[in-house]
Amino acid sequence: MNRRQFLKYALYGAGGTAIGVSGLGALTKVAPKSAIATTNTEETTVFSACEMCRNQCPIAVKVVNGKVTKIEGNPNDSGFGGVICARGNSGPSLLYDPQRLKKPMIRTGERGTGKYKEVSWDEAYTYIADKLKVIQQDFGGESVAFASRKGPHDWFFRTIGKGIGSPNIFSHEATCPMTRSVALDSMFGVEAIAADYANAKYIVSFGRNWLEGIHIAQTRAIMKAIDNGAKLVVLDPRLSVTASKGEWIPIKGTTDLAFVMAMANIIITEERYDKDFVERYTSGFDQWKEAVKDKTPEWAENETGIPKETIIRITREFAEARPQAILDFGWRTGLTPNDFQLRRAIMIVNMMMGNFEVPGGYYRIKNASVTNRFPEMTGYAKALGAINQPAFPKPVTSRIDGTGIKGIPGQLIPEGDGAVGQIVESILTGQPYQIKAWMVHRFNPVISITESDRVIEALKKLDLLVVCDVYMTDTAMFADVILPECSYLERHEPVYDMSGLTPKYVLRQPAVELVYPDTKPSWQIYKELGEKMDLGKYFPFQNIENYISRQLTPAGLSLSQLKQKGVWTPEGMKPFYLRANDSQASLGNVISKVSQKIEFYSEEVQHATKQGVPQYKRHPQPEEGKFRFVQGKVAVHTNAGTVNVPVLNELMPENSLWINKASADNLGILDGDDIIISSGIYEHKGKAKVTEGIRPDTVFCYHGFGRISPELKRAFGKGINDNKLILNQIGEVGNVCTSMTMVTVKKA
Amino acid sequence: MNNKTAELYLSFAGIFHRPHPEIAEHLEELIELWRGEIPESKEQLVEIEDYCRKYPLVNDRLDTLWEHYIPLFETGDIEAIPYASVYFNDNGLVLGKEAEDVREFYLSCGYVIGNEKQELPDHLAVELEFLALLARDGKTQKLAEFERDHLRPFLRTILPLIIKSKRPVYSSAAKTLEIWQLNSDRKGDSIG
Amino acid sequence: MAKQYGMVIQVAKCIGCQACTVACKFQNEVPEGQYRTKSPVFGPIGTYPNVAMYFEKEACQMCQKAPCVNVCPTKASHYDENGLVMIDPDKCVGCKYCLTACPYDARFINAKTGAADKCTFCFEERVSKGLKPACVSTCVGGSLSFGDVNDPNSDVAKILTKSKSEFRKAEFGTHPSIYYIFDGVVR
Repeated sequence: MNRRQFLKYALYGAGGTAIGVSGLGALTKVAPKSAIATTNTEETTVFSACEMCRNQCPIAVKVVNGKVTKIEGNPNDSGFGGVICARGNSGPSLLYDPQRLKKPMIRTGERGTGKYKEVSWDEAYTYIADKLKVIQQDFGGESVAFASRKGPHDWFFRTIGKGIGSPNIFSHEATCPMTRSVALDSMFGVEAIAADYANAKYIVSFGRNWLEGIHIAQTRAIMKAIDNGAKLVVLDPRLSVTASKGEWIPIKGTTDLAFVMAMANIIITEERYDKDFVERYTSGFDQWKEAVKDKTPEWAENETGIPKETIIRITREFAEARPQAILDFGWRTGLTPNDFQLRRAIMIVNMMMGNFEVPGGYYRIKNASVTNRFPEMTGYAKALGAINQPAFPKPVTSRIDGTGIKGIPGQLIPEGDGAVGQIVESILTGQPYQIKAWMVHRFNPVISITESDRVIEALKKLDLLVVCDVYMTDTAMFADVILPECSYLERHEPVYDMSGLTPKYVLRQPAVELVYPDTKPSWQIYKELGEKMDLGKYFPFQNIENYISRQLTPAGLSLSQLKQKGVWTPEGMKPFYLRANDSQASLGNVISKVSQKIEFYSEEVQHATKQGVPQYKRHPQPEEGKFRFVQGKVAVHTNAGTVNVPVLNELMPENSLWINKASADNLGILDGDDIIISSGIYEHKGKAKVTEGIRPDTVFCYHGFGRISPELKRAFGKGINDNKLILNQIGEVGNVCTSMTMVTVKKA
Repeated sequence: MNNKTAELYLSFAGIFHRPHPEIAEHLEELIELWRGEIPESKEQLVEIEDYCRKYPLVNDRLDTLWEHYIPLFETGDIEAIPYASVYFNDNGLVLGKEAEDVREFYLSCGYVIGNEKQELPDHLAVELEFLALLARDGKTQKLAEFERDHLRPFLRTILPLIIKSKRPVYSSAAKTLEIWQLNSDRKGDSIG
Repeated sequence: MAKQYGMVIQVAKCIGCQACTVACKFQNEVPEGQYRTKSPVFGPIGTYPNVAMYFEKEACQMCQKAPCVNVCPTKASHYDENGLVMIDPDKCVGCKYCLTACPYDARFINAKTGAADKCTFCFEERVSKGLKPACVSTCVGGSLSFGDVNDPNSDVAKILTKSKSEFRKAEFGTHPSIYYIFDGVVR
């Protein structure tokens, strides 16, 4: 081509009458139209569900002239009361963030150097499909691991894994409250047990922090209980916001089980338990009685550092309040390797008091399939339909984490969750066999799995890493392919069941069109990828509306009906407590144990761990000069998910290390000083927050900071990444153990 | 208004659009155009020529352009957010009023963002492309109006950011664009 | 009796979650880095393990005798028909007298408009349409209430008859419309 032919051609085209710029341009010619005077503002409210964290609280999205201007709680859901937290309020700031992922990308440079090129979706799918095919041929489908933050996308994401015959499908739960699920499963045969906080008169928290780890309905229920005069006791080495609203008991870290066992000891000695309930509904009381017989208040004082008088007083107060009393089962990371036994012990004490299926106690979640088992409750709601898939190929190996293998602790791990930390172990050690590829959806292992440096080492060894997210996360930085998901405000998702004391369905629907036109909802991404991989038959629906309709039709509902209010609960149905009026009602329809009993002693747990009832295990306490390192949530951020969201980052750009005033004085550390924290293996810089609100032998930081991805401009390098310091230890049921690390602190 | 204005605007639009094989292939042609029309940018043109010599193959050029385009404009650590709204609105978010205003301006002149090449209306490259089309179509008054109300305020903020990034091609092209716009001011070629 | 809007803050129920802070920012398009309200932490006070901590929402106190109105040279700061302190940004010359005069440090120069800015009780956008201010609507802990204190049936009047309330810096004689209740709070 001659000089500047190219530009001329682009401008004028072959015939000199081009309508726009050929080839590279973005604009096309239409008939000119003057802007319509924008005095008419069109304002609508779209009812949907939040995704600033995983709780999916119902929201009301205000849309003015096609733009989301504000997000409020959905007033149609009484439990949520039109309220939403700071994160939920900040949704528009994520939606319109210029830093979001916008196009599929493929890596062009070394892993971790951030060198990518943008490609079309088809190129991205082809790249993934081709790579997976080779890996599958050479190493089998089991060498591909799948991990996601649990959610409604999983049906689609996991279909890819099942389709290629991989047994290695994981949720993030092992880095979250999986020990609780294991405990509930082992005792009740179901995980779907919840607490009726709003009607409780006495609530004891073991580090549970409703007021900073916010779930709107639960947080409101706790505040309502307090308002009604309930007493709140919080055992936590740190003064959390929750602790500040009740009686703070700064318990020695990792000794919570001693406190619970002493409670049981006192209750049994003083015969304060509900004998009829224990007799009628439970099994294994004698073994439990034996396990706690020497767990006296004196013994527990020595273990926990809490005066025995306090232990006795709290136990008596708790017992007096029964059955409107809740010893909270927790919702957080595993603290210790045997954390699930703590959760079991907590539930055993609750059940000793008969705090079940009555107002102010625990209850089985009443979804439609449960309510329809009761004649008087039948007909209010029908269960959602399922989308049937053809049979998946049977995996040829067992899982890398031992999940489901009888006779080992893996037997207890929920199949849908697994022990996600084992992916890293498999990649690094090749044991029990090698994971070669990792598909990651809305999950950030670099920040969410302990010992970040090892996680990164593992990511670098993979043949293929695919990350689907809305942001360039720390993990995406190491990916071969990055898939940009659209935000929750731009997509439909399968209707999900949010039943509590009555059945409830919640819809997530788009409030606006795609902001970045080349992002896609996860259902579409995995359907299209599946089709590219010849797995199309596992996605037997045309689009998401079709999928949702097939869920709703069997429930006697329609998508247009759900769109109107965003939530659906059966008209006129009252909260359903099975034993509210009949303290001897059969629990056969709400628990799922073959024994028809709530099992204090579990044959299954005995088989798997040789510990059928919880036994106390003493964990190391910090030596002189060292501190136990603990972590927690803050109300304005979601774990590893939101620190880069503009408004939230503005409110809290970094964390600091809480250290007791007296301890800091000893080390010559002043508030705000630069410090170095060392776990013996890893070091981390940070700032000190000198406070009276923490045990002298403990230090604390909020989780989710100190991001390593320089691509997360706002969050990069600010604060402390706790998981860099927490030593990698996989607990008995595959859980992370976040309270076991001791650190030293010195002035930088 | 002359053809050169259209070609110049289009040349910069081409540079600041997402990396495109046509642009990678015809970089030398752009340098030639700029050398003739913006002689003061000699230093910058030498930099781009060096780049062209270092990467003679189109594919290598494309890969390196992507390598710099993404952190400069696209995702994560964006050094120079390419959307005007972000600078016109104090909240730093896209699709603000400015985006709507330029979209309406395009429409009033008979242009819309095509269905395939979807991009936000206030992307730097789209605004430059729009000006190339106005220049081509001889819509002098509209061009001056758009430059004054939209492009110039945007360039004042974003060009220093791109120049500061020291990213090959992009930084030099931004400086060249800045010089041209300053020259235009002096010559009264466009109303600025 | 004439309407007298007031906000009641039950400090014990504030969990410091900043939902109000963010709701206000979006409702009122408050520029990046600026706030009309925030709920900072006080404490921990005391000595380990006997400590207390609470959050106290800060914003314009909607004084009935407002120093900001008195010092405003252009009458940009004024009382509206309901006695609420408002700012007319068109009249504001950005002289900052009001920022200095405000005992509560509740005002700032809006980076977008260049005018003095502060809480308006969301009057125009919400209260005039029968809604509660954005902060009250989204309050997770149930700490905030809003209404006509002269209406005995209003939430605020009911709470105020039950509990003893305080004004911030009452000694300045500003007669605020924000009532703080510290029942159950260790200070």
